[in-house]
Amino acid sequence: MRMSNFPHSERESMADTDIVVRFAGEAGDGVITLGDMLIKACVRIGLNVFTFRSYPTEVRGGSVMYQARISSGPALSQGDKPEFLAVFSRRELENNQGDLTSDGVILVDVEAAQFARGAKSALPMPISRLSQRFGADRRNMAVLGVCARYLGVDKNVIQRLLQERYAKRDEALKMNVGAFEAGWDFCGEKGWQHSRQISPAPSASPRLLLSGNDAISLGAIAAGCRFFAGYPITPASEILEYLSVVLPRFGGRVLQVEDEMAALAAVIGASFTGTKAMTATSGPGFSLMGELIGYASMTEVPCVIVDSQRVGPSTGIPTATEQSDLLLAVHASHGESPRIVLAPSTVEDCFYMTIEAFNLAEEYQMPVILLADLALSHRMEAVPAIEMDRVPIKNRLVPDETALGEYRRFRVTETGVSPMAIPGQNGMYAAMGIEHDERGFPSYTPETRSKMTEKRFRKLAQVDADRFVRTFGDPESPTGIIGWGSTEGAIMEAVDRLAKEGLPVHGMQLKMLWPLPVNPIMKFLEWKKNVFVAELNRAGQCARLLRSELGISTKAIDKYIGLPFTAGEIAGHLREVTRNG
Amino acid sequence: MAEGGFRSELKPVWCEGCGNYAALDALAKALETTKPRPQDVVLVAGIGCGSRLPGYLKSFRLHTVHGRALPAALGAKVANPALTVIAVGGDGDGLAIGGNHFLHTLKRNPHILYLMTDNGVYGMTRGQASPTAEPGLTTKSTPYGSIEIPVDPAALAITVGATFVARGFSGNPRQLRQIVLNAMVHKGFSFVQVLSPCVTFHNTYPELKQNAKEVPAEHDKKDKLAALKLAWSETPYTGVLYDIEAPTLHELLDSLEAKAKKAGPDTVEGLLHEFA
Repeated sequence: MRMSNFPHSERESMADTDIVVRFAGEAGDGVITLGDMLIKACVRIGLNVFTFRSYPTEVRGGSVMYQARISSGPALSQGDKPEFLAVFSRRELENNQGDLTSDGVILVDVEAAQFARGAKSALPMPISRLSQRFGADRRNMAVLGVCARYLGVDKNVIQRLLQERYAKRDEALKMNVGAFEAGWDFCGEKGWQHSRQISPAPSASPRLLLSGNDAISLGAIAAGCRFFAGYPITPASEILEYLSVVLPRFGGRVLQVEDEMAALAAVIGASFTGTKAMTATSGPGFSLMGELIGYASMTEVPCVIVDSQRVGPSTGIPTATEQSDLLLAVHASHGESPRIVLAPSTVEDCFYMTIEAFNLAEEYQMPVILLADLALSHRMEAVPAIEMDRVPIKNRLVPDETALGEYRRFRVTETGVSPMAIPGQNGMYAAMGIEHDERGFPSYTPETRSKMTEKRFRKLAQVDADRFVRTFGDPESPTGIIGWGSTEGAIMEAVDRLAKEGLPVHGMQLKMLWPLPVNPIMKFLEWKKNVFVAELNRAGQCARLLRSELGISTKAIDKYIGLPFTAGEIAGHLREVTRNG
Repeated sequence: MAEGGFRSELKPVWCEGCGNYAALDALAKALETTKPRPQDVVLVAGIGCGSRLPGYLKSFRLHTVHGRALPAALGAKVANPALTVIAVGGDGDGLAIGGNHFLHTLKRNPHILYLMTDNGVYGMTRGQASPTAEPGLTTKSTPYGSIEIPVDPAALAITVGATFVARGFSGNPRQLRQIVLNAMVHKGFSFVQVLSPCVTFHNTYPELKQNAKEVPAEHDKKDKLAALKLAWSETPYTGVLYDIEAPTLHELLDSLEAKAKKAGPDTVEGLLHEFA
């Protein structure tokens, strides 16, 4: 049995710089631009980053929070608590200051400075006075100037980023640079300097700063996706938007359609003609796709469906994260229909596993569901240079044109996979949701029903699920923790911390949830006394799946408040149980 | 029954006298006249009696779930514009469960022919009222008579942006063949409503035979209001109601592609570099 880990780029482990910063303001303050500029500068000087942001469902007026872990080490999670907080208003001060570390520092607008409490020091800054000369919307640039100098980020790197961002927009560049420098100079006049300065890590190879949604979009193009249809929905819309910009350059086509049923129907129509196709949605849209998932499975049409999960049911909290669509993804649609469910853990995974998703869809001619979530879709990470040949591209089996005389589209084979003819070539057939015989004609006989059901499910048995796991920590430990999807970094960091405290824990992250990677899971469970399953839902959906499929009983670490895990809270759970035996 | 190059070996499951036979015949004739290679044709359908039609023709066939024929056809045609894509189905499939797609597919003007066999009932499920059922129609699901305003598919199609709209009658097969042929050669979305009585559950042949009139020869097919007036008339006018030229979705997508290509890199490596 193979126990190889799903491939990951090595992450350096020594951390000279490791700080957690947070920016908070109202929607419209430019908090996300501020955060993005600062972390991009950090990535340029060789550091790793991991971001988490929360934002209101409203376009204007609600609270926006942007937290970034900046580290010369692996940056596995967003960090437990920020040690530096920059806020634009009293409301954001009061919303956020309680989360600060005990010796944390708050950069705050002068108007609100008197309300800062609990922090070792509050740095009052006249945000509006510094930025007003440069236009109403440059407050974030003045704050960026102070933050960059205070934290020790090279001025030239940020100026370069501003030049790139406002290339060919001279006036905007001048105003933004002006506001940035006003902040920078103000910080210098005050002589403010953070006790732990961000220092460059110059030896690191150049990396990319990508969000999960960026990586999914780019992975799709790399996989050969040339058709995308979608309907806007948080937090998946960026995939529709980015592909609308770039996919036509590859001769691909993007349609924003009227609903998610149209999206998946169009994807199936496109794939039927031989074009690799994808849609991306979140829970509400994914619910609507159920019937067509069954259709794609029944008619053996390859397709990729991204579900970036958010808090449900119903509208839930559209701008908060959760991992609560797992059982839906495994079972969506009436009847019984094979499909594959993948769950990337990192932004890097989002790229390579989207290619894997297309490969699996093509190879096994069935729907493949990629389960991301809001936190991963919007998370920014520094991704090592992409290796285009790490995941070789696969294409569906097509019939040998010379042997088409007796072509049977749904021929029963040993693997269950049968060659799929493409319109424009010979081998005409009907793809129908009605039970059909090998030629694709309706057939309701018990023999056909049983033979074709077995054929479709036989494909699932061929899938090499076992390589979609990652293990970490101490394999000898009697304590194990299993996670899936986006929670890997926080769990890994918790396991690291406990190891340093002399509490060894063994971790396993599942990246394919259907079919389950049975062999590595069973191997992982040998000798374990306590096994936890950590997941962001109330029901313990992965734990239920493990129990129903493998008869395993586990202990739950469930969180369902719309926020991702922190390493600290996972370590806390494990510490308590490990110490108490 | 006429046999031709496009007819498959399957025998239709429709009731004797069903309007769908005339629609099938007209479509087969149009294909035999325009002569695409059968393997370049994709026939798409949803669910219902009318949606059974693709099975009786030689081509690639996408027999989707109820109501989703149009978006599936759209995906197929956009992904490969060289294919001849034809969608068929009944008024329940296309206007009730698939009504949203009817509206939105038409306004995009893809080069697709859509044949709707309209009988006012759900024949396959044994005759419940459908979106085009006339007020007062008594069916199993409207035992005291239908109380809804019926949809007029042709008028709706003209309103939402179809570039070719026609109404045929299965009781006038000669005209229907000509209409479907015209629809087939139209560049862009062509919608053909076929008044296609359900002889088992809602036989309107006698009334239609008495009342249906062909569109007057002097009708200006480019005049939208005139087309609407005919479509909305108490008299069921049959013929081509509306026929204009407009850029197709595929032409517009091609021009977007040209714009996109000027806007930035067209290799994965080039795109990745933008995130460095």
